Amino acid sequence: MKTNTDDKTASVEPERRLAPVAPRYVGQRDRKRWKRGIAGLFLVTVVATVVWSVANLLGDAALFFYNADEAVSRRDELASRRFRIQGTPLAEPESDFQDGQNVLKFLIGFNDVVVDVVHVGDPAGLFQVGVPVVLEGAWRQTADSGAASDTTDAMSGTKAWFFSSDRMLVKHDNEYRKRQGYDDRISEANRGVATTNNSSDG
Amino acid sequence: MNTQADFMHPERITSSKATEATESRRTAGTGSRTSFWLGVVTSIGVAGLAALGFFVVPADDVQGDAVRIMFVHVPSAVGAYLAFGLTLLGSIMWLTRKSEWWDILAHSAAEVGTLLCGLAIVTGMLWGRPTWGTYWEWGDVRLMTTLILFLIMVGYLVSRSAFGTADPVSTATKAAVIGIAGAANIPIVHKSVDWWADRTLHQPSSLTDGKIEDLTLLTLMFGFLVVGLFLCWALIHRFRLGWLERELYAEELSEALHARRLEAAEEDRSRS
Repeated sequence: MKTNTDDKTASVEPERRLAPVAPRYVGQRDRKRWKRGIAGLFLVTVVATVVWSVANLLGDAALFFYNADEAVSRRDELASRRFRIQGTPLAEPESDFQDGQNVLKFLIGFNDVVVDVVHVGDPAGLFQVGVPVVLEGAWRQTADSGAASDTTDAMSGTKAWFFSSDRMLVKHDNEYRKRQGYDDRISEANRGVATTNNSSDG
Repeated sequence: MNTQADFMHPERITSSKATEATESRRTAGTGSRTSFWLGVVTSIGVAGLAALGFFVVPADDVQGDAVRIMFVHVPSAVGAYLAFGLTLLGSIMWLTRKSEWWDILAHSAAEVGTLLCGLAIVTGMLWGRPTWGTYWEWGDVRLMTTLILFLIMVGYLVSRSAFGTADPVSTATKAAVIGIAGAANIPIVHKSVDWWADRTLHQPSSLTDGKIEDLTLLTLMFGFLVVGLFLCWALIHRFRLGWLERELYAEELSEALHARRLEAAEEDRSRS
């Protein structure tokens, strides 16, 4: 049977009832609260960054670049947009120097589709024939720039499209060969050129 | 032995007990003879890896000397996968068995894994600059999924700190959920170069699909061994540290309770 005293005890807040044996925070509560506040803020920042990154990923990364064949097939849709195109340089570029900047003209290919490229600016360090590149820029027609005027279709009078880029990234593959092989191939290529020259001279 | 004067001033008892506990912990440490030798072997391995990577392996045909970063980058990334795999295992075991051992393992592995993941990101950036022509591309799938994995695991560590030790069971449970969610990203990160093969700047997996020159492959394998040894060494120390932290917390809690009981007894005496 409960007494009045028991009822009074029961009505007291549990924390107060336990106070005599509970651990106390002497001068540490504010510091812990401050520490937790900082940690909480950091956690919120991390979560926000993750959300932002996911949004960025879904919005952009799924179409980080169009392969050359896709870019050609979607040319009408992409005509006024800045985007990235991926392809493999097919031949050594023609270099020029205009308005204080390097201008490279070359062809890239992907899935048997070839695209004319005019790149303004320095090429990436590993830029070379056979190593895929990702170029950032937009479709242009020959009238927009004299750079690719030689690609105009003289018979039909239509203007040819080319990709005008100002940013280049190199997309290397996962084959790792020692440089010795590279030197050998260069030597072989040089020997091949020499042989061809000799035979044509003859 | 506690004197009458000590009972009048319970803080003295607490203080002396804390000193004893500190001494005990100092002698306990986090190392052992095995972990010491493991550390020595790991250090020798790091030196050997540096020697192989810088002086023995030839420059790559396309990438030149930049390829040498691979010997740290790829093993770090795989080491991070392994560590986060342990976090996943530890988290599941905590949720199912409520074993402190597994919780400490999950926490320790998350810390070491986050370190390795950060190393993989930094070395990847350093590798990307001379090869791709950029340190970072926000739109690239492999880079972004790795960053998300890293941030989730940082969030795991921050959450453990933020939730505090007031309720270790609740903290461990919340952290376990984050740990499982974070580790679930590992297959996405790993397969991203295959699933978005035509959409990423990152090359396909060098190990499963790549063609690697013999000496380069040997050095890469040696890199895996060294990172594996480091992972074991760091995990052993971090696990022991975590265990000692738990013991310290339990000890401090009982000391605080003891001191409070003494104060309460004193109050009762003074009232009566």
